Amino acid sequence: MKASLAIMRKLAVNAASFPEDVASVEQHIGAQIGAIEDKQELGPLYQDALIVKVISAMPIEGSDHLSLCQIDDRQVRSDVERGKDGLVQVVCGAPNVKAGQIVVWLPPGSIVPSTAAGEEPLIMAARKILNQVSNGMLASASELAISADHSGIVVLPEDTAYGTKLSDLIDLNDTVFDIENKMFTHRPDLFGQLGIAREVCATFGIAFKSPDWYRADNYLKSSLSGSLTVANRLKDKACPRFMAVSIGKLKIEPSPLWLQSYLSRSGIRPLNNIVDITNYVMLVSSQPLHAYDLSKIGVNGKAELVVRDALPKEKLTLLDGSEIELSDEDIVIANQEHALGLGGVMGGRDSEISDTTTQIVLECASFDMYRIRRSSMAHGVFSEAVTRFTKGPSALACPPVLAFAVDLIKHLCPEAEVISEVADERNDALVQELPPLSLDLKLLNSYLGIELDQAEVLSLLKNAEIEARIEDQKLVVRPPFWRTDLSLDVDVIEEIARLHGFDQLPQQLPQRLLSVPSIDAIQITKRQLRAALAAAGANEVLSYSFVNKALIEACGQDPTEAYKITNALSPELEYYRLSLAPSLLSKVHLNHKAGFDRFAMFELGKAHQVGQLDSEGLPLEAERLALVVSAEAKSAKGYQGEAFYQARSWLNYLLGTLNCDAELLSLRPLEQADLNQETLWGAAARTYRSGRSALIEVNSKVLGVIGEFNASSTKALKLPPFCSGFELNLAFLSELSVTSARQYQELPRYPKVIQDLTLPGSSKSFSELSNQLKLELKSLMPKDVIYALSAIDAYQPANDRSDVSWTFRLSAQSSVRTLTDREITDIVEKLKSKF
Amino acid sequence: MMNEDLTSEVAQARERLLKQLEQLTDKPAVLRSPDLRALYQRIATLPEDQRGLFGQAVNQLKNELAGLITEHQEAESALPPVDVSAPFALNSEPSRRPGLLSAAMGSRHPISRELELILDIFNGMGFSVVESREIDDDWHMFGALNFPEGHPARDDYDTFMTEQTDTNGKPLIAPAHTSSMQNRVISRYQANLARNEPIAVVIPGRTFRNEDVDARHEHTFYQVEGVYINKGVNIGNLIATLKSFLQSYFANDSLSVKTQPFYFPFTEPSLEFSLSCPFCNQQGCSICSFSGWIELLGCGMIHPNVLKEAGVDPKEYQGFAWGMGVERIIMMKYGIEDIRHFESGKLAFLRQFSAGGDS
Repeated sequence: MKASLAIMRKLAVNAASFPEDVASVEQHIGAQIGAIEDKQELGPLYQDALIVKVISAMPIEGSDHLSLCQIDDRQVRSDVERGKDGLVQVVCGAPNVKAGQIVVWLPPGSIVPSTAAGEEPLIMAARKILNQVSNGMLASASELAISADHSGIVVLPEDTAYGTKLSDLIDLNDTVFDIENKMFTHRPDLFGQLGIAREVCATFGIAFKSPDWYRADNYLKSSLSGSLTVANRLKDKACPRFMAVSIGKLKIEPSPLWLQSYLSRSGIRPLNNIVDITNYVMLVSSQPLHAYDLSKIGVNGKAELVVRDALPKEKLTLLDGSEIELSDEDIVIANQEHALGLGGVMGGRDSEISDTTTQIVLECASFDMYRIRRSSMAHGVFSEAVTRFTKGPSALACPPVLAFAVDLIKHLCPEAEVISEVADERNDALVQELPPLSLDLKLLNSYLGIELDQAEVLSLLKNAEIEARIEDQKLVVRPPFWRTDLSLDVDVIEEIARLHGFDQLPQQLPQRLLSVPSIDAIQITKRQLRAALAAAGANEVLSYSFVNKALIEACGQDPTEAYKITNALSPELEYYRLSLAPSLLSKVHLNHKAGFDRFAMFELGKAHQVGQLDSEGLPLEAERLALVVSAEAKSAKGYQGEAFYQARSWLNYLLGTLNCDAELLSLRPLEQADLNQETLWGAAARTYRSGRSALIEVNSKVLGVIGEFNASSTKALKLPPFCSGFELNLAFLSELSVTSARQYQELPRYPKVIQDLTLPGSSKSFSELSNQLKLELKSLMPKDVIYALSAIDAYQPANDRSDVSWTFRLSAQSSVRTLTDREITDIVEKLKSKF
Repeated sequence: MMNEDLTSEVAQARERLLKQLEQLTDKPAVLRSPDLRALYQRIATLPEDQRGLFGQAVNQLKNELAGLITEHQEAESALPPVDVSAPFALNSEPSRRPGLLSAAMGSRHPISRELELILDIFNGMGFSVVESREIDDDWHMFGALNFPEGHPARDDYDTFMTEQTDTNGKPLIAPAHTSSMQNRVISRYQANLARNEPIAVVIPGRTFRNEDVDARHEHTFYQVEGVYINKGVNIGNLIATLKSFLQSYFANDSLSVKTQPFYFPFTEPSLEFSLSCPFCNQQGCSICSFSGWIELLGCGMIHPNVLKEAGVDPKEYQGFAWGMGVERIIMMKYGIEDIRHFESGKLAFLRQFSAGGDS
């Protein structure tokens, strides 16, 4: 939202004063109205532009378009070459230059305003054109950055005084602030310069009073009848008010320069006097208006307008040239035959104002902001009107705004006259002031943290033209008609706090009891894991929650199980991930390629799967830890054994860091598990390689999956052969760290005996063997002996899985006596004989 | 029923294709075989009642071939199985068994690291910690936060939506702010109020916006939400709390703060909160664009409608809330030039946060 100080100053005619210091206005807007995104100082751009008179303009020989002009600046410019007559010579290429015109001169040394924002601003100089010295140039509206018109130089009315600065004539000693729109979402009034002028004054403690015309009872009068009717046939209450009036004897021409300049500095392109007036009145008041060419919508100066729901498939060509197909969600303004415009959004091209227009219908209406928004979104049509109507401006503003617009038309086209009655189709129940609000002063003071003086409260509000009084320790506020946001007591509190200044309130920390704040156990576990894995050389990765279809499929998963984003930024980000491994795997190749030959990456994140819901009935958010270890071929040469066992060693480490014993784990080959039964792990498991992966269980409950990755993901993601990983249920891990923590054992006082035993070759799996071994050991070992058993070696003759011999190391010590080697050797021998 | 001629036509084509598959070295080439293409072209020439059935049969055949190709590929790359219950590989020397890596190269992600720091400060101030969701419903994202249905204020949040819907038939949402957790935490800790203790919770989490990505914008980013509710909470409490946090976070007691009015449907008043630049002490630097101030977060007094939705009486209790982006602070703190590095998974980036540096 652009706010021009010059326009605001004009609108503050009835205010006690208007702040002059630009820097403090800027500071006040920023602190009490809204963040300033940008600021443009117009003054410096136009400081040298002078209004001059063309005394003579003669064609230059040898050129088909240049004229040699002598101009009179009343000699106000001192640093310029003059003839004996005191005139300045300028070469002008504009076809419309003539002796006697009042024009705008950019003397040598001045900047061409339209180039000021560019990389190389153009500075005027005295230079020779076809052997004639040109001292600067005569400017077009386009060069002055006032409109797009570059067909000729700007020609001002004959009676314009010359020898004066252009900036004085059209109020260019101005600063335009661009305030962020977002903070005005609830303040339709601040989409008009009038609203911002009011706020600026209020923040300076200046009592603002709106201009005389801005009163709800300023109602345009007409004694005519029978030439303009409006009927509202909407299915709902989406058009609370529709006012219109016809005006005749118009002459369409460019607007005066001041009006064009007010528009262009506010970011609106000037077109012609009527359209410019509708836009200017909107800029000032925040109430959009629309003008139709009466000859194109009515017959013999009479028009019958209808506000109705669009018909299904009805077509309409908008002002911007786009043709849209409507639905009954759209509001159209129509005559008896067809739609003329998309109500509240954009007018239609058929009834556009043109050079030949002499009569218009001027519309000033109010629409439901929800319906305007839907319509605008459905067609992708955005306009200044949409920006404002979607904030819900008050229908009570329509009469004064219409009256003001008609006054302005009459001012610019003195011949113009109202040629119809003033149509005012309205739903009285919806055209109402908001009810008065009553606010407990205690609540106000509680919010503010101070006792504001009652007189001060009243004056803060009064400065912003909000009527208020104190009644029985209550503040009674009557919201002015333009303040549609004041509907709750807190809205008034906001107003008072803001006008007082949020930063002026006392800043004190809340007082509290020394109770212990809670932190979820899973978060503590996450911290532990993060620290432990980093300490083991792994790198924590955060990757997007969204993945693409190809990745899901390459990882063996089913995209139909994944939540699908309908408005994804790109197909790369179309699905919620079913597990974390695919995200990590997609980062493996790029890192090897970048020269990292071995690494471990892990991520703590969430997985989602369609159909799995939590206690709220929302998608279950499965908290996971995933880890991938990878070594490219060369560095993997140093390793012996399959990649599977590297993941396994990380898994054991990880449990240890949570103070759990790896003995808790039971690993079952994935191909033996029914993945269709494992609804929580099916998707994650499918990324792993058959024969080299396992379901990890603790007490028959699944903790996660571990292994090498399947052929399709290996191929698609260019994984090296030495790559493996796991994915675990974080909540379960967290639970284990509490329920299955290792117990301390008292240190024995007697020496330890250590012996290795190698079992004969067998086809049994390691777990079968070690379970059996432990069982036997338990029955053989005396009760007073504390012992530990760990595998230290496994030997298999060339490629014979049926002949694997495992070596274990047994360490034993007694808490009551010294064990002898003999004793343990006997036990070991007995053990061996059992296999 | 498909007529017999057509059935046998498909069967014969199947035989030919299976033979081709067997002979081909480049197995997927079978899907481009003229025989298969001919079957597809045949569909359009058939009488209408046969087209669908024939088409189905052809598709089935294509899927069968695709399945066989995958099977073949898996078999090609099949590796001998391992004993998954074993703690290490057979015939491996202990010293050459792959294990952990060098501690010097390990790292926590800078976002996690910084979040831990931020949460520790708030935890120390008495705030409990609850993590936010990555997928939520429309009601928590908007309804519970005083955004009426269809309200234009929803346009300020470019939310991702899913094809799947919630129990009300509305698309599920990738939350665009951690505020979608406000209703949950207020309900969860409501008993605090009865015990004359405040509700004080911070909510870290991932949030998502449908916006184009560049060096300063990401569609996925982290926020820390804060909620504080008690009797007689005032606007100055809000400002003081955030100021105190920021002074601690930047370890600088002389930092000052300022606010600007803003608009959020779920707070009233709503404020935007700026911090005096901690990097130049307001002398002017590139981080604060020589303005001396850094816009940090949005905040405000919790709207009475939000309290009511969560079962708290706004006449009796007031509160404040804020939502703070995390990436930007970290980028400022470490001089990170591109926000896209965070989720890139690039070790060159991540290992700069390791003990050993980028090695």
